[in-house]
Amino acid sequence: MDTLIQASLSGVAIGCVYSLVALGFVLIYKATGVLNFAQGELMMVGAYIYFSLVTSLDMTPLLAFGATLVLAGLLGALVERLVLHPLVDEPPFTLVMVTIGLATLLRAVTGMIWSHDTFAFPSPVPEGAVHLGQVAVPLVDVWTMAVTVVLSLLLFLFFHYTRLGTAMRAVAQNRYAAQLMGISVDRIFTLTWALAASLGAIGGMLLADISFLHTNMGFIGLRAFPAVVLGGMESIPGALLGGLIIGLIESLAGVYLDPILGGGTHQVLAFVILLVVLMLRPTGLFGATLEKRV
Amino acid sequence: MSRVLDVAGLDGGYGSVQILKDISLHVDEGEFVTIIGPNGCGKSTFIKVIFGIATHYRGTVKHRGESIAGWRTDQLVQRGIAYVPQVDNVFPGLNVRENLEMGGVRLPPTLLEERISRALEMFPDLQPRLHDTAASLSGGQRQMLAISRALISDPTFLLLDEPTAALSPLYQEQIIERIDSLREKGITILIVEQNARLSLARSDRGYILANGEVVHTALASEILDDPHINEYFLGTLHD
Repeated sequence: MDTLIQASLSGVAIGCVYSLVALGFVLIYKATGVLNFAQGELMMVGAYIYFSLVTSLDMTPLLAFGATLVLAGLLGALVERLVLHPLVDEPPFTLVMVTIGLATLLRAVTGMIWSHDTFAFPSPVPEGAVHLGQVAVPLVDVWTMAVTVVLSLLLFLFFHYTRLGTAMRAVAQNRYAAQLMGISVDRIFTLTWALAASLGAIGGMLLADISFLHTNMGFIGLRAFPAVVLGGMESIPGALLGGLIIGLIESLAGVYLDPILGGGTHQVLAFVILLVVLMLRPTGLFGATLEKRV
Repeated sequence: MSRVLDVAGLDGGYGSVQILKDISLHVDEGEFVTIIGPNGCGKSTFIKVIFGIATHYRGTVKHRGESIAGWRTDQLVQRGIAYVPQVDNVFPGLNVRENLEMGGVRLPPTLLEERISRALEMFPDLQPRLHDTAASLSGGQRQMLAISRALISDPTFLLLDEPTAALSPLYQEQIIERIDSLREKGITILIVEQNARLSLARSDRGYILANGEVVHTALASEILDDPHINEYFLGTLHD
């Protein structure tokens, strides 16, 4: 029983990271229709930025965290303006290929700047664990879960109680009507990329904290994609829940299936779920389409 | 009487597909002007070209004496022009209040509140539905929401594309009546209508489009009384 609880809590922690990365996927897809396969790399770059700010510029963790969000947001905005904006209205296949190319570019440039070595992440969280009976939950996992909960709450408030957040939802629902209202759709696209990159950066910092800092960590971020499909492509709550489910299943499979089916089963399970969801319920858990009157 | 819209020799369409040919048309301050014509004659395309959504090829489009051809929609909204499309004119997943807020996304909060209250006075049916999503509204209520949201930007010139399409007769009457009442608030109206008889009854003047060209223009009352026009363009609506 303790093993089950321990594995579940670890799964929730990694699931929180998937949720944040999935959220970035969903925000961009919902608003702009672009399936951004570079979201994992934006996450990775965010973690590297924090790493450099702390280790090279000796910033405090809090200051480095804030600066990372701003810099990652700027990177996201820059990517949208320079790479995606000129391609608006191009076929989806073109856009997917561009984001895959962007992912490769970001990985290569990160390797050129920081090398392809693996680094220990300068964790802002002290070592140790919270003990729940026989179960020890590492503080870094508690931190990851707490950050995700707070962030989810802030995002909910942003999207429902600020004019900018509502405008983002409006553009996501009806770009045409938004344009007619005088909402600058271009600006909303840029802001959406900035927000998604900042969320990715938070996911990257949390992931590096519970695992490692490496240029290939973007591939781990890609495991959030099944979470996006499971949640329903355009659903923010779906992305959050999908991430948690994938993290949980991966963690439990690592404990219970890997010894039977061989190590690595847990790593492919997310993609098995992706296939099953696409076959049985392509709209995902929360992917119900809005009623459209004709 | 000053000229709000002055269009001369306008050619336009979608991409390389030309729909409009040499359109000349004007709307004066405080007027209610209706464009009628059969399906596919280019009525909606005309409004879309004016509002920068469809392609403008050639010809002048002046708003209060200044050329607005090729302007972005947000620039036109800031200039006091608003457009209510026939379909896809609300944000279905946002509630009524949020939809109205989106009409004045750049306004200071107090002014926005004032404008929302004013819009709700004009369309009181929306008041009890403020927290319901637009997707849950009836067709007529949706149209009211689309018009009231356009009013939040405080336009002086309103373009409407078939606002009564697919509505019940009761709602058709109500919508046209409310649109007409906007003139008392200093708003000039240009409307494209299938339900031409209802709209022309409230209009000052009318234009008839066929095959992308203006084929006739006259006072609205003259159009309604013309037996030939009744036969060819209003015939289906005879009592």
